[in-house]
Amino acid sequence: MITNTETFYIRAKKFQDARKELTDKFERDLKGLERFRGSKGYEEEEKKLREKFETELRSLQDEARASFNAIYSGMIDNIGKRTVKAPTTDQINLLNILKLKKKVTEEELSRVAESVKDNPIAVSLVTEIAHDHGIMRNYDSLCSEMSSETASKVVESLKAWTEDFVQFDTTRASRLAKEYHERNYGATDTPLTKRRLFEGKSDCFSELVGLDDQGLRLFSEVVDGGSDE
Amino acid sequence: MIGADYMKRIGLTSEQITLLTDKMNRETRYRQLLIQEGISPKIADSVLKATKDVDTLDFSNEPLIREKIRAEWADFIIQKKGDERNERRR
Repeated sequence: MITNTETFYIRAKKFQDARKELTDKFERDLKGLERFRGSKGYEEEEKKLREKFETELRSLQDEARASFNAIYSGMIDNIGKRTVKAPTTDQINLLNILKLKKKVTEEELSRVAESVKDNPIAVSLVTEIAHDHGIMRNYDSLCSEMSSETASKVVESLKAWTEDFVQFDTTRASRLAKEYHERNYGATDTPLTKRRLFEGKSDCFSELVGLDDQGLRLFSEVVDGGSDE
Repeated sequence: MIGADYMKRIGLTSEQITLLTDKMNRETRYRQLLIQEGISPKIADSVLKATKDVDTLDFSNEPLIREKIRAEWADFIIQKKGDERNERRR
């Protein structure tokens, strides 16, 4: 059966295309109405059009949210189903020594991370120790597998960014810029920049959550099932 | 439908009967979902044959299975009359 990430992409693309079609039609209809501006029925017709558009858009958004929620829960289920491979005794000893040290250098952390990189849990422990010592580095990229913790964080980001995607067809940057302008210099008519439409699965994940091809591959291994930690 | 009595009569063990019944129940449930999502019963049988992992499907998350059916078998989903009218209106 189709995987969770594939289902997510197909659903997101379906929503993106349906919203574009709906928005384009609404904009076309508004333009067509423009020649009647100033007439008696113009405002009423414009209001009717806008209401119809908003209702249809809301129903599209609600449907998409329900679908995405089902997909997220499938992803989270698969993260929970992963079996855990314990670090070896040597790796545990190494990590314990590192924990006992009062001062840990970045070089030491890198060396330890390098020697435990075959185990996602051990690598995440190195990251934790680094953070305890104020070194804000993440060693997950050394590991050939994505840890369950990282995968859960990606799902959380996916939820947040997809909600933004469902809610708005304009870029966040242009919205923030407009907000800033309005707050500091008053209202502006500058139109918001539309989101770039994604094509293909990797483009979708890169656009929505910033995963590159390698990241998507590791993420897929975890949330599509079949990979153990 | 083949019942447990028949399976006993042909000499299957209780373990085999449980496995077979579970498989049949899963397939029936998945077939129902395919039909409910708008796939015609005839095509649903072919889809069922083409779906290799019905045994491992987690039916506790039915909305996800429905979503996957809609994504994977979209070309076979027959639009309901109401949907067609809405499409034309657009």
